[in-house]
Amino acid sequence: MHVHKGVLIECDAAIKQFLLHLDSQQPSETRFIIADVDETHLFVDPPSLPMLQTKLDEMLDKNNFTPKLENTPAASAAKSS
Amino acid sequence: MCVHLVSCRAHLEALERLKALRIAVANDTHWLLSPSFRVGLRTALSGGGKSWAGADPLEPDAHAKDISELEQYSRARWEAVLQFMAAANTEGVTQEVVNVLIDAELISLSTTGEGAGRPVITNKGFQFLLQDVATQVWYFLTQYLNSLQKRGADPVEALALLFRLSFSTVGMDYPVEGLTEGQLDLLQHLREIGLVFRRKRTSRRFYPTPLAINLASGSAKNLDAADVKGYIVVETNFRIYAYTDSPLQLALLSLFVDLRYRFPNMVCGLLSRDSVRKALVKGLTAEQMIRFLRTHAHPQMRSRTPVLPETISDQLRLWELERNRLRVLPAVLYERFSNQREHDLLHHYGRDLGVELAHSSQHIVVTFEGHEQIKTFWQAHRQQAEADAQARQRAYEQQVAQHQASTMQP
Repeated sequence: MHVHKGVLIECDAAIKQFLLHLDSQQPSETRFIIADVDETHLFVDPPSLPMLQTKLDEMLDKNNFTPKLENTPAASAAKSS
Repeated sequence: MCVHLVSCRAHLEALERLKALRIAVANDTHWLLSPSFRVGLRTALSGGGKSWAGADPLEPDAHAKDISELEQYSRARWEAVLQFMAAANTEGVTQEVVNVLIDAELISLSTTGEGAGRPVITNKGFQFLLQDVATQVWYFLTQYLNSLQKRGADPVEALALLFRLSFSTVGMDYPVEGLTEGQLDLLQHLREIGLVFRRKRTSRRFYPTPLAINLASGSAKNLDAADVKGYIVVETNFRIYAYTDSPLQLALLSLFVDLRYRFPNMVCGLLSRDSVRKALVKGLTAEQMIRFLRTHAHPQMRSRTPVLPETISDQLRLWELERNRLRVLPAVLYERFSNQREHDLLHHYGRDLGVELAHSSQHIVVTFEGHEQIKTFWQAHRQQAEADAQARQRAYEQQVAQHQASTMQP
């Protein structure tokens, strides 16, 4: 039997798939997933956590649509600056 | 008869009050006044003792203030404090007040980014801002007394002055004569937050403001009249219209609303994912924002049910959830079991202990704390298993020996 110390991530299935994808993109020495436990749980290497969080935020930001308000003073001010 | 009944009830009520204040103590047959109150009362009735309002009354004040001016003054001062909390606008707020706010954890000094050392409102502070003025003043003063105690000062003097204030009359002036050094300090601080008015720091007189008088009586009617009036309209398209020109209300709104246009009597803003996320990062919760919008809803909105459009409250909650998509726990993983029995054994043991977080047919994950227990259990189990195996081995060897012995015999 093998024993690993690390962290358990609990998340929904969609986020889990994203993390699996992220892991598969990594070069083999920086892979962080130690075990794919079940639908909603992953066991990972602790040092990679901050990276995971930022990548996840990036992904969520990218998937979020903020309508641009044209012709508003605030929007045009932001553009010119 | 009727008159008698009424006066009898009034008498009983008065007695109840005295009992609640522990001024009178009842036993079976009669009432006793508390000794110190008895002495004080006797002195007061016979006209002796020293009056705290000064032995000789002050000459009429050339710059006398009337009640409405005092109320305006106190409101302005108190709002300056609140505004400082909401927008970190240090104008008119002294270091002493800031220290009390920091001690009370209503604000904290930011330690990160380019704004290091700048005050930032905390989660507790936001809740504080949402309360009515009387509660705020009360909370602030209890925190003030706490921080006095922390610095080793005696809060009794301060309390004495605060009680005096609550027995005084609005619109009357009182002399500062006879106050101790500590009380003068307190008076200066009260002046800063608008509980008393003094024209100058060296002025010989002070006026208590309605804020101070209401402190002990617990009634907050007249103070809150302006706060209770709602001014926010929220539309289902995430637009917010706030009919106010108070910088404080605007500062509060700007904590989580992206304000876009400003008119003399109203502002127009937008609830956006970014603005809400910014607030969430600061530690405000979606529930707090929803409650704020609901309690300050414009009368037009109040007539509707629910007051806040459901899309708005749901979206606020969703934005909050979005930030918490990962739940991270330090844990220990067991894998590559040598057989199914090992796996089942640990799985059942971990589950019964309540330390198992997740498991599949290949893996078991337990909490960090539970790992130690599992380890001891596992070692005991291994020793037992080894002992069993040795016993089995010996039994087998014996059997073999017996068998050989029996076959050896012709």
